[in-house]
Amino acid sequence: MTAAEIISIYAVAAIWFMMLINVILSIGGYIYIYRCNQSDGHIPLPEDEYPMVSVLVPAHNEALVVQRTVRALLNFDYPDDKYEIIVINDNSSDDTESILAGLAAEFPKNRLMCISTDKTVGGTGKSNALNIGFSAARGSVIAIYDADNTPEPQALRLLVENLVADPKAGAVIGKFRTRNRNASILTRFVNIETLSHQCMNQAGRFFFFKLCTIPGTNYVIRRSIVEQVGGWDVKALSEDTEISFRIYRMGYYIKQLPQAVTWEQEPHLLPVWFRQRVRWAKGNIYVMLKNFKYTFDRKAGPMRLDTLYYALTYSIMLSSLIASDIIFLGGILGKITVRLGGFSSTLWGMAILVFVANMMLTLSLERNEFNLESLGLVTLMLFTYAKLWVFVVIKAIFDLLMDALLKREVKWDKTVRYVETE
Amino acid sequence: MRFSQVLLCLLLSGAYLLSAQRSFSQSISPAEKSENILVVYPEEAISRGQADNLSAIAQVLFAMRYQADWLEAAEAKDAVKNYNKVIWCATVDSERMPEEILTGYDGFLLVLGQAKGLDAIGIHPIPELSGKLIGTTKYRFADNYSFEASVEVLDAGIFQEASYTNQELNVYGEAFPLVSGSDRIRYIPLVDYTSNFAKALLMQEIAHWLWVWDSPIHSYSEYIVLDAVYPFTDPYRLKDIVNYMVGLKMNFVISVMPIYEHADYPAMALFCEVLRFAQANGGAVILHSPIIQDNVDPELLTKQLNTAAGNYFDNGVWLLGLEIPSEWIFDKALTDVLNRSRTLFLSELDAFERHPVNEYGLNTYLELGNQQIVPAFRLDESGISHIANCPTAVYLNLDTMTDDFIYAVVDAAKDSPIPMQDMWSMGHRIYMDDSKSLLWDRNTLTVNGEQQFINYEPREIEENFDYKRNVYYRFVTNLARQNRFLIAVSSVVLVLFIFLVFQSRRQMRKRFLKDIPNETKEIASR
Repeated sequence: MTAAEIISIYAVAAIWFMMLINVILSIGGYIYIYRCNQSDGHIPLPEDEYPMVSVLVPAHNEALVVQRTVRALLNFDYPDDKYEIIVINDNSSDDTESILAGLAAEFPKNRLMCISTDKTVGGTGKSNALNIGFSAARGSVIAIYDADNTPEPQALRLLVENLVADPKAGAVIGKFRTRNRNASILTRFVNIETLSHQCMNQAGRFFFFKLCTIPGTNYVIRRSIVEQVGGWDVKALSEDTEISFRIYRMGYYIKQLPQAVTWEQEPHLLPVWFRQRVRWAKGNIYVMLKNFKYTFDRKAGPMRLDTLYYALTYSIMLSSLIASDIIFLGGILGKITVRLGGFSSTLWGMAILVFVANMMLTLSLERNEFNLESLGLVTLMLFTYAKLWVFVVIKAIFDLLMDALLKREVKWDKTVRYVETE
Repeated sequence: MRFSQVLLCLLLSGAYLLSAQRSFSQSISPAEKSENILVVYPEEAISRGQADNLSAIAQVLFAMRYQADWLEAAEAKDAVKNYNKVIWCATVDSERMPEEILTGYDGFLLVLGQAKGLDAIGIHPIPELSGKLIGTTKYRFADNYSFEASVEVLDAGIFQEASYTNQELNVYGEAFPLVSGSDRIRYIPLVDYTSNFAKALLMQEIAHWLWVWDSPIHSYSEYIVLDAVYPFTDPYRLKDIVNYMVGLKMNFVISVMPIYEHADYPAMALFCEVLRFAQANGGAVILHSPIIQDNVDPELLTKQLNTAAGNYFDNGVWLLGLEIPSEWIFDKALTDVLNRSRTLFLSELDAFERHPVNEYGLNTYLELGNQQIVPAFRLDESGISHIANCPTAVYLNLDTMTDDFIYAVVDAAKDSPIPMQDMWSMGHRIYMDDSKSLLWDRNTLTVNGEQQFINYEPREIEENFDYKRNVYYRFVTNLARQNRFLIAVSSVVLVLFIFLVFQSRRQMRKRFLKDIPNETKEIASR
């Protein structure tokens, strides 16, 4: 048996293993979302028992989107006197500050606070901005929204009600959707990916193991927890995943609530998307390396599965995809010959069908997403968009290695926004 | 050497070359006619059930390495003049009169079957042999080897002024010459050549018909071949048979099946031990073609032969030739593959029966100059050859034949007047690629560019061989099971997903219908 054949077997086995894990998670996610969809998600409290909520919005050069976000936050169906909005204008060089000042003047009755930082204390990333905002927050519940979000009016109430009703929940996360899904083919892909991975996969992990990582926006967390963990890790590029693991370790779980929806702007250009995803991948690898030791710690509970899942994704999944792509290309160019008896092209076809069916299952739970166009996009996505993940992770690993070798400070790469046409 | 001497040498050389060229061009002038044999058959032959008969004649010509062109009588009329050797197949009743085709033809002519219409060339019908008759004949193939058979004739006759006659045809107690003719013309009245007896007879007569020299007809040896021996067959049984033939000082051939994997197993080492002993003691080893049921992919076949040859070479077994099915010689795509072995054994000649007459002449394989050995036309139970007009092989199959039968055939071959061929007395060439090649030339064996020897030296066989039969190897060697399993799992997942999609769409529809009144109420309240 040649090295290429051994690698092929490894790739096939690893890809199918990961695919079957995702199939199982999808089934769990489906059951969970299906059940959630049978109610409106509310667990009403007496009006005077709604806790004070501080909504933190880190904003670094967000002039193009922040006004829309703040207006949406002001429109929350939540007692006005029970929530405050703290926008951390984090060393912005654009008009963010003046836009926020205008909004504050426009809505004097609401508690809209703007904290502006300069390059001395700010501008070092989202974690730092959140910590600054948190220091000024009064609420017993902290809600986080990115500056490009337009949450639905019910979102905050739903999240808070579910957090209050379940003392074991350290945080409750909602669902985020792509506001600009029709901007380009890239945003259409992102929309499908968001629903399948961010929502379905999270729901599956929550359904089976009560595991669910914070997505960075549209979530509420207990103030006491943030205080206990000492705020957000400023070294982490994906502060959301990082704090999720610390919440796990405290014995809390993170609940997913698909009825609490926010709409956000996704990158519509490939370079912007690529930079954003590289940052996420770098952040996830950082968190994985930081927490991998807990995989073998029995006291860590179900969290071990999440560390293992991340480790599998960034080791087995990555290596098997690289191997299969190399062998595929080598085969086409006639440089690599693999003769494995027994594997049929039917199996290859089945793998594609399972992938497509998995995605379509996710879309079937959404309004206006389950159609022929989506079917075509999902199929196209498998051979285009999905392939980019490998390059994203390779670039992230390369950057991390260079950061370590050159002892570079971890740099927050701000996602560039654009003006959306209605 | 002085200048004048050099000039003289050059002049003499030039004169010699000019004269040689002239004599060469003179000698080839008759060769403007085709060297092939033209076989002419009536238009009705195929429709009147003569396909098998023509196939039998084609097999005989192929076995004797004659290139033949096959034409229906109507097409042959103008073509005959381009040939020097013509066979007229009048084995079926036909309206076609041969005079219109053969008039003016003065080359070698063999007439098979009916005698009518051939008066002009000296063949006349015999009234006693008119119509369809069954007779008997006893044909002598070699000293002490005569075989008797019943034969069929149709409006038979005789070459009237025969300078050559051979054997007798007995019909109703009367004897007639079975074969009659002159220097260039032969007439054989038989109309059915599908039996081995008739094929052997025809072969012998063709050899005599076309032998123009005064010396005795060239005779070929025959091969005893232990056929399709699998690498994991019982090595001790094989050793006993080999020992028996070695004891009789016989030459023999072992045709081994290809092996692609596990060539390092002790069983293979033991098998090759017997083969190496055999090749050092009068035996020779050839490679049997892979068994392929579907269409043959030349690229895959080359890879298979390459791998198999490598596995035998690695074990010190020197393959001198290739055994192939006759079907492959009709496949032009395989010409390059077949040309990788100079010596080719044909397992059978059945393919002629499956191909139409117009493909008999498409055989490019003969043009490659390979050494070909065809299966013997079995005349008795032993199956050994009793004709020496072409190299033939007697195949002995260890799987289907008993030891007693094999030993009996070996004994019969030993006593046969036809000698057993020693493959090591001829040159052989196998070329798979640069790292798998063999050349046996002038008693020197070169394998993969290095000189090798055929003497036998026992090799040590590993007793504690690691068969790698753990879970990992079981997994990687039997992927078909995993393949089936994954397809089954995927199918279940797909069915489940489709069911869930229907469920969720139902739920979405319900929610939509429920939301409409609420939304309407909301709008109304505004």
